[in-house]
Amino acid sequence: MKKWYSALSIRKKLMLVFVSCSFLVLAMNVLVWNNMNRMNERLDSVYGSNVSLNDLQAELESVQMNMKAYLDQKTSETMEAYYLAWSDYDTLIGELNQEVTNSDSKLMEKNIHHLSQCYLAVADDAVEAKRGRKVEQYKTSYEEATRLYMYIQTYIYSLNNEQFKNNSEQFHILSGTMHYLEYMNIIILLVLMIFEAVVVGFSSRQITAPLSQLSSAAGAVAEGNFDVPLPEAPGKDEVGSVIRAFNKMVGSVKRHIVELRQSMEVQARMREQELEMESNLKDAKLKYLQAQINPHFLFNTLNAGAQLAMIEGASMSYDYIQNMADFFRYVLKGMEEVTLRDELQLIDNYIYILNVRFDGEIHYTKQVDESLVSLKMPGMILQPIVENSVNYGIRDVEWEKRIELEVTGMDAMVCICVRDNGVGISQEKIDMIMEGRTGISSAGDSNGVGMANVKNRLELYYGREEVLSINCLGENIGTEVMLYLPADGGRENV
Amino acid sequence: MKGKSGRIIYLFLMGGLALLFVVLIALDLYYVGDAEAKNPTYKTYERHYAFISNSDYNGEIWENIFQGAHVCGEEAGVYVEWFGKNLVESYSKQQLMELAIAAGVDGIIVEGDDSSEMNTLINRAIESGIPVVTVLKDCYGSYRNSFVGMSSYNLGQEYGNLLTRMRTPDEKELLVVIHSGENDSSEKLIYAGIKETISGITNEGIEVNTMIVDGSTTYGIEESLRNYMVDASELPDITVCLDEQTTEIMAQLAVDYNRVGQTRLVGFYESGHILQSIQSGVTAATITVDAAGMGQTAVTALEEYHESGYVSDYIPAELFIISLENVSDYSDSGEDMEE
Repeated sequence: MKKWYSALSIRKKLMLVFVSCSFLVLAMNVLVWNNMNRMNERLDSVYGSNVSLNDLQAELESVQMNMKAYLDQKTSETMEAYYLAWSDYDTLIGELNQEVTNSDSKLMEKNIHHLSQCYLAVADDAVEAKRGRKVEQYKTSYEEATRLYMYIQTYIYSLNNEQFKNNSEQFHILSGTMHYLEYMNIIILLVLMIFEAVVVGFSSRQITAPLSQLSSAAGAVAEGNFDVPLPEAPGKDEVGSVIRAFNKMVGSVKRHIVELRQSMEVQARMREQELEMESNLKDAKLKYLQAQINPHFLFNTLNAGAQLAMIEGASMSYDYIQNMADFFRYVLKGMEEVTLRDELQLIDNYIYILNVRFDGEIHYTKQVDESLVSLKMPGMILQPIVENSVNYGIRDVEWEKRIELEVTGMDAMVCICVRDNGVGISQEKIDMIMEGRTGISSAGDSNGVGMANVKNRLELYYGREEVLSINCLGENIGTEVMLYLPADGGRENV
Repeated sequence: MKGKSGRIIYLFLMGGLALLFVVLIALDLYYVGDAEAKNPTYKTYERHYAFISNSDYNGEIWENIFQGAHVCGEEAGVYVEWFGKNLVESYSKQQLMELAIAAGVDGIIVEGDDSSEMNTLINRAIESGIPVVTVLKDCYGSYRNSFVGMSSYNLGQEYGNLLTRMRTPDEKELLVVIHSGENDSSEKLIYAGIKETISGITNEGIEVNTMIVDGSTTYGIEESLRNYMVDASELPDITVCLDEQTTEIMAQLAVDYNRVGQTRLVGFYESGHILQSIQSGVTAATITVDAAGMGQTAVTALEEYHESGYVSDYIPAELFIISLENVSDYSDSGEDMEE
C-alpha cells in the first residue's frame, strides 16, 4: 500500500486526498440527512394513530347518522349512503388490533373492534327490520345500536386520550433525541473536519518535507559544503526524481572536485620536481665545475706560479696571481655567511683582476664606514652586483668607467650602494630582476650567480623583500643598486 | 529523527480521530435505531378475561382480587383486564357487563348482585359463550358458571360467633349497617345469620338492630353515616359493618367526631386503613377474606371451564378474623398491599 502510494505522482496524491476527504464529507452528510429524515418520519408518525382514530370516529358517526337517516326516510340514497359508510367503517375497524396483548391501547383497540362488529350487526338488524317494516324490532335494534354507538364513542375517545398521552411522551422523547442528534451531528462534523485537516496536513507534509530537506541541502551545497547529509528520495514522484537528480549532481561535483584537487597536486609535484631538477642541475653543474677545478690543485698551481713570479722578481705577476688565488678561494668556498669585510675584500680582488685584464680602465672608489664591516651577510652578494655593473653598465662605454661603492649606516640599517656611470638599465629589466624572472647568467665573464639569485638569497636570508633596489640614474648616466641590510644582522621570520 | 517522530504523532492523531469518528457514528446510529425501536413490544395472550367490579367504589379488596386474578392469568397465559378502568366515562357494573359481552371477551369475573338486570346480563353472556364467575357476592338464579366467595349466611354466622365472643356482659345492643337497595340481599342474609347465631348462643336478650344507609353511591353512604354519628345521642355497644367501605367510613367518622370508644366497631376486610384503626383501637375487629386468593381461584375456575367444560359451582373463600391480638401479623402485608 505504501509502495503503491509512494509511486503516485504529486497530482494523483493530491487528487486522492481531496477525493477521499470529499467522499467522507459527502457520506457524513448523507448519513446526517438520512438520520434526520428517519427521525422526522418517526415524529410525523407519532400522532398518526390519533389521526386514524379521528378518522374512525368520523366514520362511526357517519354510519350512525346514515342509519338514522335511513330509518327516518327509508330512501335508496340514504340506504346507499348507509352501506357506503358501513363498508368504510368495516374496513377501518379491520385495521385495529385484534390480539390479546398486555398493552392497554392495543386491548382497547381489540374491544373497539369487537364492539364495532357487534354494532354493525345490530345496525344491520335495524336496517333490515326497517326494510321489513318491523317497527318494534327496528326500534329496539336502533336503541341497542345507539347504546353500542355511545360505548364505542367513549372507547375511541378514551383510546385517543391514552394514545395522545403516550404519543406526547414519545414525541417528547423523540424530540429530545432529535436535539441530541443535532448536537451529535455537529460534533461528528467537527471531528471529521479535524480528521481531514490532520490527513491533509500529513499528506502535504509527505510532499513538502522532502522539498524542505532538499532546500536545506541545496543551501548548504551553495555555501560550499559538499559533505551535507543528502535527503532521501521518498518515492517515485516528481519530488523523488528531483532529489535523486540533486544527489547525483552533488556526488558528481564532489568527485570532480576531488579529481581536480588530485590533478593540481600532481601538477604541483611535477613543478616541484622540475624546480628540483633545475636546482639539482645547477648544483650538479656547479659541482661539476668545482669537481673540474680541484681547489687544492688550483691553489697549489697558483702558489707555484706566484712563487715563480717572486723568484723571477715579477712582483706584478705575483700580485696578480695572489689576487686570483684569493678570489677563487673565496668563490669556491661557497660560504653561506660571511662578513661585509670579506665581501669588500672580494670586490677589491675582483676589481684588481679586471683592471689587469682591462689595463686599469675601471676606476673603483669606495667609502666605507669601518664600524659596519663586521656585519654578517650572505656570501657572493656584492661581487655579482659589481659584475653586473661591469658587464651591462660600463663595459662598452667610451668615457671613463667608474664604479663607486658606499657603505653607510641609517636607522639600524646598513646601506650598501653600488653605483656606476654606465649606460643605465631599462625599467623592464629592473622589473625582470625584481620579479626573479631572470635565469642563470650565461655571460662569459660571469661567475654564474645572477642578480635574481642575489635578490632571492637576500630575501631568504633576511626574511623580507625590501633588501634590494635598482635605480636607473639615467640613460648613459648610470645605474645604482642599493642594499638595505639590518645592522644587527637580524633575520626576520627566518 | 524529528521527521519520524512527527509522522508517528500524525499517525496517532489520525488513528485516534478515526476511532472517535467511528464511535460517534455508531452512537448516532444507535440512538436513531433506539428511537425508531421505541415501539414497545407487547406480549400476546391466549384469552381475554374481563374483571368487572362496582365502579362506584373500588376499595383495596377489589384491587387485591384483581391483582390475584391478573397474576394468575399471567402465569396461565391469559390476560385479565379491569374492564372500564381506562375509560373516560364511569359505567355501572351492568353497563360494563354489556360492554364486556359486546367486546367478545373470553370470560367474565364479576361481583354478583340480586338484580334482574345482572341476572339477565350474566345469562346473556353465558348464551354468547362467555363463562362467568362471580366473586365475593353471588347472583342467585343466574346461569353463572361458578361463585368464589363466602355464603352470606355463613358469613353472618361468623360475625355472630365473633360478636358473641368479643362482647362483654354489659354490651347488649348491636347495630348492623346495611345498604339500601333492592339488588343485594346478601347483607340481609348476613344480618339474618348474625341474629340467629347470637340468639342461638346466648339468651341474654341481646338486641341486634339494623341501620339502613343509602347504598346507591359512596357519598350517600358517607352522608348517612355522618348524620347518624352526629345525631345519635347514644351509639350502640357494637356496630357491625359488612363491607370495606362502610368500615373505613365508620372508623374515620368515629375519630372525626370524637366518638371512639362509644361504640365498638366490627368491620369487614383488612385494608390498610382498617388495620391502622384496629391498631389504634378505633376498630375492635374485622372479618377478612384472602382477596388475592379469590382472584386466583376465579381465573383458575374459568380456565378449568375452558379446558374441560366444567367447573365447581361454588368455591368457598376462607375467612379470617383480625383483632388487636393478631393485627401485627397483617400489618406488614397490609403495608405491602397499600404500597
